[in-house]
Amino acid sequence: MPSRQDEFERLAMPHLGGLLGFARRLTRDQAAAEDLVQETMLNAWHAFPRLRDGSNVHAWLFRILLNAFHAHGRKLRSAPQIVPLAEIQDRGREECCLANDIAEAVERLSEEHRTVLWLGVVEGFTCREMSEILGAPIGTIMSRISRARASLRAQFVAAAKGA
Amino acid sequence: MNCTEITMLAPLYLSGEMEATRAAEFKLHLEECSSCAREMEHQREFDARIREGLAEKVETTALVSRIRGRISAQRRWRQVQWLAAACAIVIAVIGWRLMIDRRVPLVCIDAAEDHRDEVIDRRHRNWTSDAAALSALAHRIGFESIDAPALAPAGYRFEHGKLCRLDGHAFVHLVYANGNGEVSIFLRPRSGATKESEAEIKGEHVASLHTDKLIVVAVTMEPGDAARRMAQRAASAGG
Repeated sequence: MPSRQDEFERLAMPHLGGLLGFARRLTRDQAAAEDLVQETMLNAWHAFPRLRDGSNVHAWLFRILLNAFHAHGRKLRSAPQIVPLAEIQDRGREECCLANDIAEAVERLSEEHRTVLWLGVVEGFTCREMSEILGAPIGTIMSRISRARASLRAQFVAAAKGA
Repeated sequence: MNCTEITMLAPLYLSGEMEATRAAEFKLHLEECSSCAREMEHQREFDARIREGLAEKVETTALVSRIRGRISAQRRWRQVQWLAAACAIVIAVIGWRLMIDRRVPLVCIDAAEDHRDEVIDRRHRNWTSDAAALSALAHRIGFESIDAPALAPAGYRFEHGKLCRLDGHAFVHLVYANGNGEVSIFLRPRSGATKESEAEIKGEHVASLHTDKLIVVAVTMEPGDAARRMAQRAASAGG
């Protein structure tokens, strides 16, 4: 019979990369993100015996991470690295869609929009799962992700027009 | 479905969680409305670009070993806590037992032990059945004389006796039998206030009685207040 630690390794550890990527988006700082993920995994380890069979471990871990992030209040939030719009508008449409531009454009979104965009588009969570992770009604989640997409696209359209 | 509903429900459609009937209606609208179909296609492409743009190589090796180290340390600490808790329970149980034992006079504990060893288990001892010899022994510890048969509990007859030590003091140990079992009566002269105590020690009922002239301890298997009655009877017969 596998030990508790073996089961934890098998079910939780594979999500570490996704958690770290998300934590970096939230904290905008590598060291703070690593500390946040470490705290998440230790909290998950303590709560692991209470996790029911068949639970969605992926969503469970992200919920723990967000709880830990919010528990720290503003301590983990650093100032957004704002890139002047003119800098983006100076670039051409093709260049605008490069990885760095997308990352920078996402940075300019509000924390709520950045969170749903990351969870939904990058991590592939459904609206229902995001509703559980964020503790918000599904309608709110649908509205947030639509606005996040629209806001991001508006940035690129503006940049393209300016090019 | 109209275009407004399509815009509103797009997140559910794109995440693939729309239930079958609604998804069919959604697709039907996309087939009929080129504007919405184009919008959905653009959004899919845009999501793919976002994924590519945000997907980055995340190095986790050091973090993984740091987390494993912390979990192992916490497991060890938890084991220490369990061990400490187990030790505390053992110490508490031993302490409780000691407190219980201390509530029972040592003289009773020694009497029960002597009765078990020397009478029940019949460990070899120099007993005497001779009343005169026993009286002489009793004289050595302060009795003027002792009439062992007269101290017999009701229904018992005197068997034999000797000197012994209980709680560091010399006592006369008298043994009586009734065919079914034996009773030990321990006596020692004294002066001072009277007091009584009773206890059950490993199945033996023990009663000690301090009169103004002597200490009597009775040990018997008989339940209830038999030990106390035997001690009282011996005390009144012995003076």
